[in-house]
Amino acid sequence: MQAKGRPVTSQKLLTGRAGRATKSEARIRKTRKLIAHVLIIAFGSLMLYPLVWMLFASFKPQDEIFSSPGLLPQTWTIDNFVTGWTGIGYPFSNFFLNSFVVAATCVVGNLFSCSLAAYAFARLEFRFKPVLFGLMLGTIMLPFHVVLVPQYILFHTINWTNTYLPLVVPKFLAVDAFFIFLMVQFIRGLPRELDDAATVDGCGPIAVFWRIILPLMRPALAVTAVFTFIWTWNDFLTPLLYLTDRSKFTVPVALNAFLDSSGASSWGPMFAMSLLSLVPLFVVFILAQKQLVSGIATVGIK
Amino acid sequence: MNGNSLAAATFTRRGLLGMGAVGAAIGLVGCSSSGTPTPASSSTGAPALTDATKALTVALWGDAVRAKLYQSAIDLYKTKNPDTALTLQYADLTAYLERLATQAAASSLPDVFFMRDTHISRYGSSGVLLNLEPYLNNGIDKTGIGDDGVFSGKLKNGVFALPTHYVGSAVIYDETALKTAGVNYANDVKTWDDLAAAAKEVSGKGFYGIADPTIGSTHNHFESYVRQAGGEVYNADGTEAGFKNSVMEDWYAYWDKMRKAGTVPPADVETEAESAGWTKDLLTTGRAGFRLASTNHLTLIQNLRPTPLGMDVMPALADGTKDWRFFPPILMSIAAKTKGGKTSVALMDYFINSPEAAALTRLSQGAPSSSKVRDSLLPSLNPQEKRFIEVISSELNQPRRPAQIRPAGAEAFNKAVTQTGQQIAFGSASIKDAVANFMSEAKRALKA
Repeated sequence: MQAKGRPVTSQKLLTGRAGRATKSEARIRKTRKLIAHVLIIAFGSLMLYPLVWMLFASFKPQDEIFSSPGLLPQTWTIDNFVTGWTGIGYPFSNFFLNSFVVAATCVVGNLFSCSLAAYAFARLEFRFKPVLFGLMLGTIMLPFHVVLVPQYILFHTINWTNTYLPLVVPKFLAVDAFFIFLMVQFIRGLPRELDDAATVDGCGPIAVFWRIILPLMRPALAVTAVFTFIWTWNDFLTPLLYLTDRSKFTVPVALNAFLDSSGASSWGPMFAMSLLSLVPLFVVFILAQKQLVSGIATVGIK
Repeated sequence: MNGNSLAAATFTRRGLLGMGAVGAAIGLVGCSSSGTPTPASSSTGAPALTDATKALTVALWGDAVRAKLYQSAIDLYKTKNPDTALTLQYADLTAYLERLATQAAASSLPDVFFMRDTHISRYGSSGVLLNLEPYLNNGIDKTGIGDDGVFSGKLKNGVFALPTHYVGSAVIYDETALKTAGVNYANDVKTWDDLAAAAKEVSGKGFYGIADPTIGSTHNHFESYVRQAGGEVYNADGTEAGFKNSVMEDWYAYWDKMRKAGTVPPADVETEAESAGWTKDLLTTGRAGFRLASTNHLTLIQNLRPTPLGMDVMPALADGTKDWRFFPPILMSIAAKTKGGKTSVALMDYFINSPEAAALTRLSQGAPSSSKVRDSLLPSLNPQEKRFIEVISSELNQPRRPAQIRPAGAEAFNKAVTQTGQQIAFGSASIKDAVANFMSEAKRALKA
């Protein structure tokens, strides 16, 4: 909107010529905000619809889940939760505990090993560093199914099948190149002067890592922790392959036991237990939310 | 940005050469280890089976409900043989097959496990399964399943699986709808044309005559049709389709005619009906009168709807062959590297031939393969289950020529049949073109 041929800066547009917002400009601003909000809410609802559907489906009796077109149940029942809790022969809390133990240990493993590896790549000098860095990046490009069978053969030979060790021990050996790379980029953004100052004061490399770099890496550590937790919690194939004892199942494998593609699956209990399994993920995400957003946003930029 | 750290990680020429060397070394190691192991040489005599351990694993596919039934059967075996220790592994079918493949590659297969008829030829020829030929009537009683049963797991160099259950093809129908329309299946429906006429009688406003079997993922009814017409699905060496284009064209023309007349639902309605297991199926929700299905689906569908369902044998071609019947088996195999061979063989005999085990596992996987076991089970079944066993027993008594073992590539072949059916149903290709396309696709699938 131009007035009287004079170029109007955006600031003047917002605040009017006299520094105060004129009525029509304020109305336009409000309308734009309203439209933006409506669009975002609509899109958000679209994204959330499957979850909302699952929420209501877990309260419907089994024969109503797929046959009634409406979202809300015609008959509310908590049968699915009751059946689902003990459906597989063990109370579902057992599987939640298993998943939590595995996920938490993997988080600790990743935080420990990936931060050390990243520090080495970002700050230390050693022979063959470019080769090793290239190899590390190469593992990200390797499709999972290529290593599936050799890994299984390895773990079977050392008798680690039907234990949690194949799921957890690799995390302590810095296998997640994605997080190593994330942290490398983050550390590169930290000024070397801090390192030099610490060295002058008598710190060796380990002390520099522990006292200077690690405390500054909190956002990257939060990103690693949250994503490791979520991905490990949702991982289906690895626990399926290595865990054969029903009592050791994690949540995704236990949910799979409700399905029977050659017969009638127990959809109701499965939806009910899936809903419950989302709760820990939400809690973890909310707790780490602040650090997570700042971590993703500031990687490499300081 | 700190220039130092950047320079440290850039690739110098030396670094690049180093990476190349490492990469080449890994490649050589990877390629040198052999792919498929050499198949086990067939033994001339029965190798003496010993038990290095009596702790065995049993694996099956299914859900927690089926696992409970089989756990009780295993517990019964343990009470009879107290020194065995058996653990049960289970997963849903797709997950089960993925895990089985990985375990086979790592030589850590469960000792006794259920095998799909679609996978037996691949597993059998790769040497990971125990050849059961020496133990027939020498550990495993084969009188109940007969030679036909043995044939279902027989490959070129031995018998690698035996059937524990059979699945049969049948027609399931809404009894009330047929009664209202005055159709008596047993009397009126003998040929495919009779079925089309009956479906038309039964169809009405918003009610289809018969559900469309051509766009789903299993094609047992198409195989029945092919065998009635005198051909087989695969040719003798499993390299291409064993039937002529005209047979397939006739099959699709039959369904297409009904689709155009409204007796068979349009493709989108059928796709939606098949999208959520049995819960949205046309027969379950009372929107169709007939459905081509398997014999063990009767109890399943009946549990999902209040009004009664009937089941009867499939129609046949008026001038077709009389020995066309076949029964996809649910197979059981033993791992070649099992450490408890003697107990595994005894366990397999238990699952196939024991009436007590069948009383516990009932019809969860299908109709028991042994006629003696089926007869022993009859008194304890409900009317639908009785009907299921009656139909399959009478069908099993009919003369039949041997059914084919699915060759390698059968899964891709099956998918091609589904795609052809979908193309025709959705109208994106003419029948002649779709079938011609299929034939070349099938050749490619079976060669792979």
